[in-house]
Amino acid sequence: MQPRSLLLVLVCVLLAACDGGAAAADLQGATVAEPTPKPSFTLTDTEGRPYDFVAETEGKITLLYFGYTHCPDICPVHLAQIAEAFDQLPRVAAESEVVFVTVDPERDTPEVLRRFLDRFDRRFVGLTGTPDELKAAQEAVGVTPAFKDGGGEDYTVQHAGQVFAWGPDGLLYAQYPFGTRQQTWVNDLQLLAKIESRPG
Amino acid sequence: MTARIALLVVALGVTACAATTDSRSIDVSNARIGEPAGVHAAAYMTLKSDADDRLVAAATDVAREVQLHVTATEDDGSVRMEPTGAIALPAGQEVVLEPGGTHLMLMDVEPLEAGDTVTLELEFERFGTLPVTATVVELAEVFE
Repeated sequence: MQPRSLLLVLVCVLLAACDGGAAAADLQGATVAEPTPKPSFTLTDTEGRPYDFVAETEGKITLLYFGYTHCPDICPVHLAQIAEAFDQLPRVAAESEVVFVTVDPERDTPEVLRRFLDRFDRRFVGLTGTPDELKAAQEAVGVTPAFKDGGGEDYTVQHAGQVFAWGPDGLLYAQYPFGTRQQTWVNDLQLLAKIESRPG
Repeated sequence: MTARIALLVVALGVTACAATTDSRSIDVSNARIGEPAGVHAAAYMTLKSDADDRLVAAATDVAREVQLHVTATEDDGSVRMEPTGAIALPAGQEVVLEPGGTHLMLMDVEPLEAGDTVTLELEFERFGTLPVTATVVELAEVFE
């Protein structure tokens, strides 16, 4: 390669990197001080297949949420907002993976999870596991593991309320607490899409 | 006996009049239900009572049970949802039932779609029962 061509490549790489950095700086979600790599865990998807979080989401914008289908007030609103943003941004949606991990494996069978997620977007991934596996996944992400609240069949589950967002480069850029507005998702998903994925 | 019956009728009439001419009022606005995705749904609204009162219960034909619930966010970002016995309505103050806060939880709700309307029977400690029409809205628009 000619020195001039090499210089051009370098400039392009730097510009791309800067563009990604600038995009991250404009995120409206609760940004993290230092972007951190994806946590490693493997759970089971709604088809019963093992799902290695790092491998399956490589190179994609990744949104992760721990919730449960009996939750009417928080969980479905997050998912509905993301689905609505995807409707507005089909190209971004195609480069993204939304992962919903149940914290209520007792009631959220794979079938229940699939039916719930299909109400929003058939591409959304639903994961479950044993209580120990689910606890380990939450600890890997750095949230307080969920626990059952109350007794009887109408128990609720206390769980992390925020959605975590990794860029295509596999770094965690922001968290979205409950109350995030629709426009924030549309804004931030476009910005996350500008971040370059890391060369394999 | 006839006189006694007449007296009873008058007494009942007076009671009914007292109820209908009661100047108490509770305003309910923006009553809405997020389109259910799972087995439960949540209803939100803004309430304003002209006198101190409390919302103590609610019911609807489209759900097995309606519970008064509060969602709270902990310092670590965890969210907790739990039943509450009553929702206080201080006189003249707007009390907002909203996502992530106080709401009515419709347990085992029937399938509903955006645009449907549902009657909720709200029971207040002093005012009594008040039927309210809530509109089913898409979940992404439930904040509006």
